[in-house]
Amino acid sequence: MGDGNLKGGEGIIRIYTNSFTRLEVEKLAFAITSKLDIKTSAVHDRNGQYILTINKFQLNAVRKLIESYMHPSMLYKLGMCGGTFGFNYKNILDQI
Amino acid sequence: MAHYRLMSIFPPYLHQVAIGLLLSDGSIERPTRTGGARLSVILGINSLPYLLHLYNLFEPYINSGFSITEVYNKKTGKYYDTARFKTGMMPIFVYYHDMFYHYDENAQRYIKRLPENIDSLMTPARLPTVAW
Repeated sequence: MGDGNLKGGEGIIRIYTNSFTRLEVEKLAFAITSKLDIKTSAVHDRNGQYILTINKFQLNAVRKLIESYMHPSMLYKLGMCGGTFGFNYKNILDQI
Repeated sequence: MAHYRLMSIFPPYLHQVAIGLLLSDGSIERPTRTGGARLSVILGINSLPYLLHLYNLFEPYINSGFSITEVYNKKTGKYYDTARFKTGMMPIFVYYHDMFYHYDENAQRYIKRLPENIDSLMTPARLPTVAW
């Protein structure tokens, strides 16, 4: 899993969950949808493997929800560049 | 540093990162069914800054440095550079191993699984680690 990206030009977030079973990917999609209020789908990728997709209408909601948790070097994967946004090591020093 | 290694569960932020990692590219190695376990993280060389960030977070549990290794991809027929680190073998990682792995008697090895309580584990802090 991991290695998520934005589908070129379409604004669709894809999260590669290929190592999990279809049922597990569906459960994960449900957990993200219900707990984070980000509508997420389990979609067949290839060879019986499934990935998560989040449609383009959710992109801004995802950015807003997680920008303060994302390491700055990974922001480009959400099409966000040129700044550190909300991430700050000071915010986690008492939790590590 | 020693008190970190005696904890039975990570401090809150590390706990979230560990779960996010195990939902993604992280793995926990447990060579025997009764011994300790260790975290292993391998990322593409393009993600080196992120790997160094993770390395710094888990540094109290790491005994060695990170390494860059060239690996051959059978599908593409090309070589790729990867960056990786492993923690030391410690009891604290057994907690996370039990959460994410089950022993397959037929395969005679541990296989990763999604935790049953994934609903309660999902938080905004984990999604970035899961996805990227």
